[in-house]
Amino acid sequence: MENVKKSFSMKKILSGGFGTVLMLLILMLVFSVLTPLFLTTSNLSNVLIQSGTNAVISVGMTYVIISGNTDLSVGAMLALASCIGATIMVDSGNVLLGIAAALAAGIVLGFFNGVLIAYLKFQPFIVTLSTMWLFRGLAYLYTGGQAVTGLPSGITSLALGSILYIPNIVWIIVIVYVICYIVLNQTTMGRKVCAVGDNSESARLSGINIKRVTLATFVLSGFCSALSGIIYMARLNSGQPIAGQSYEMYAIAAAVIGGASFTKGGIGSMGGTLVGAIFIAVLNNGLTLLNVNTYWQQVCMGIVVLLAVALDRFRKSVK
Amino acid sequence: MSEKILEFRNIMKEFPGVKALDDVSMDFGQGEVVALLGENGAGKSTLMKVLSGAYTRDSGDVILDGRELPKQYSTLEARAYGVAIIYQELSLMEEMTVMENVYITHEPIKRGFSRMIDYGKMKADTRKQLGKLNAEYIDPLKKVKELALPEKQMVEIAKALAVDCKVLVMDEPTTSLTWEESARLFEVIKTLKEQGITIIYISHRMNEIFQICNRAIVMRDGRYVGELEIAGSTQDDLIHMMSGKLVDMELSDKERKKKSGEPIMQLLHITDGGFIEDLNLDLYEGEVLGIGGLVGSKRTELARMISGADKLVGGTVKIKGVVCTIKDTRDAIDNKIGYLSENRKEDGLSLGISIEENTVQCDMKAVSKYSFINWKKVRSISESYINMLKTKGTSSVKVVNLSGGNQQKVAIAKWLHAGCDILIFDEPTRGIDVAAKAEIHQLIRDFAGKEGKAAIVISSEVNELVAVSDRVIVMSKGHITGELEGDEIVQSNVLKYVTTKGR
Repeated sequence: MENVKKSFSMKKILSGGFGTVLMLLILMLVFSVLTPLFLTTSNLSNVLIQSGTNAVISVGMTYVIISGNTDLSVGAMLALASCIGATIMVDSGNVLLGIAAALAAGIVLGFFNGVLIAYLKFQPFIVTLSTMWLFRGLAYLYTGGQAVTGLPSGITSLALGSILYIPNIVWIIVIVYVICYIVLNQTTMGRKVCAVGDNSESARLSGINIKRVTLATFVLSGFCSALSGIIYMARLNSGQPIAGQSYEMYAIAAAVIGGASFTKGGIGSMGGTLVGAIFIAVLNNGLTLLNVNTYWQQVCMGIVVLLAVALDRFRKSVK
Repeated sequence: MSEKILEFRNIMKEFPGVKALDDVSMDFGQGEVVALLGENGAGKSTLMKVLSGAYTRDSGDVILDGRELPKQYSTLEARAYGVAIIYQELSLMEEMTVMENVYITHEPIKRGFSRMIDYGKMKADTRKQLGKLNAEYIDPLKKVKELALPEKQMVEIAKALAVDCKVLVMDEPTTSLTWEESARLFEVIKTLKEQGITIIYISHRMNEIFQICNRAIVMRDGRYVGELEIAGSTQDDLIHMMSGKLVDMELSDKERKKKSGEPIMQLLHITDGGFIEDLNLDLYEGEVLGIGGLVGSKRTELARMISGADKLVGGTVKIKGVVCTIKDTRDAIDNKIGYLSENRKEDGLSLGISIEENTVQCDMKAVSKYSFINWKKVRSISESYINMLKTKGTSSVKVVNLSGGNQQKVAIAKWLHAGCDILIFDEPTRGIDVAAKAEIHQLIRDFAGKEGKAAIVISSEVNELVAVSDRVIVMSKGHITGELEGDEIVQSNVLKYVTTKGR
């Protein structure tokens, strides 16, 4: 059409995840009515802490999805990175060294995925499906299948402590989201991620190094997985090789509930993903409080993701 | 006019904020070839989409062969009514055979069965349909992806005819065809006309319309403007009706610059490992160099190698006497060479992203500090190009919402902002209306006229080369077959070299 649709600003509001926020508020309202246990400060704070691991992993996942790819290995990276971090923490007795090791491991694992996908042009789905098993297997081999225990006490205070009455884990979520929001929207790197996701060939012809951009998203995904692994390790006070099973699915779900498109790149937002991650946590928390059994919880999860997709279709049809 | 076959009465169609069709009425006679003309965004495509069932009209009537069509119908139903549309981007299934494509959704069924496809009959019928188009040479069992473009087009037409077709709409069918192929298509159109099929022909190429059409209907801003019998009209009459103003497209010889001084860019011994072999070419400061040739002349391949889009297999590129290494597009842009792609939708633009972001995509450094983007600056740059190019749209609008002509302007703005000294424009006005064409030609000439700049224009339209170039070279099968300067630049000379065989 020649003339520009005037309603684009309205559409922008809708596609900015407003619909998702509405869904979240409705869900919270329903739970508040159904159980008095839900709407309490301690429970809500608990929900945020529970959402922590998924929220952080979903940041990297959102970048990967926006650039037009997918990363199925996040859960396995979480496990391997946290086991490496835990072992080093136990051996050295130094919490910071362990954290640094875990993060470095995450970066290396993400780099491995990224090189295979960006430079050797392997299919992202297949690569990360393979490395999901690869990294998970390595985590079992590395730990002998046992949990790494006897962590220094400092690590639990990371999980349990708070600064200015706000739990540390919530601080981590806030900091990661703010930084990644700014990078995505205000820096050339972030805009390149969107450009590559929207049309990688056009981006290449515009002089954007699409390989480097793709690699960067996978490295970020590895880093976020490792950070999430540290939160996990801190909460359980141990390094678990079975940690993060099927977390990739929750992360994809959070991004999609937040408006990212699994089939078309270039779409997605940090705010949307955060709402998506909190949504999933609220859902699990509320259903648990209501004593709904886990089988039904899975059914609900499936319905919610379908609803999110339906909402997305609705947004697109509002022209 | 012969008997009426199709009538539009008072069609209205509104999109949020814009009246796409405003009280449009027109009619078409049986066996007529009618050109539907208008600038980009005049409403031609919208009207055709209403006809094909892709859009639902808000009000008004569509009467086909004396029968009023229902308010809402699907594209499949439209086909059953006898309406077929062939879009610029062909809609064939590449992995399926020719006959499967021709009879898709209308497969012949084996006698006595309800769902078994009768492939024998399908093959015979496909032969028959292709025969009507004098295209028996196309094997019904071949996969579509193995066919050349004009053959695919024939398959698309056969597909339209396979279901009793009364009205056939052709949307810019010759855009990707060579002259010979176009001529063959016109023969087919003539045959169809004799069979009583009405053809609505959408094209921006004036000479084609005068060659094949009986009548031209002009639309502007979603309205019916008027119509002309082709016999007895001139191109100027039509252009005037379309744009409401007279457009001067010719470039006088005085305006053409003579090449002078040292070349700004030298291509030495360029090779692509295939057709292009030891190609040498100089580009001089301030000139617009036109490159003519047929599809397969390897002009685009040459441009893509120089601009880093494809690998430069052999040879040297010198800019102002200095040899430069071009490994990818970033290198090319850093060496001040830019390439405007011939396919704006496939690889020329990020459609899902705003005008302003597309505009600064090649040179984000200019609008950022420590890699933080200054959105105010982005906005003001984007707006200055919108004003300069008269793009219809605001900075924050996604490019996908613009018409083809305006998208092309965004692509041009992107490359003007890239800060290049040498810009290669590959089919810069493909699918763009006459008035916008003249504007883009002027932009290219203005760009090349600035100090230290030069432009290359690759075009399949000879009159475009004549209208914009200071110098023209013609390529055939990877080789330069001719060079024209000054008053030698006329259509007939270009055409002469086009068919010359390379060494």
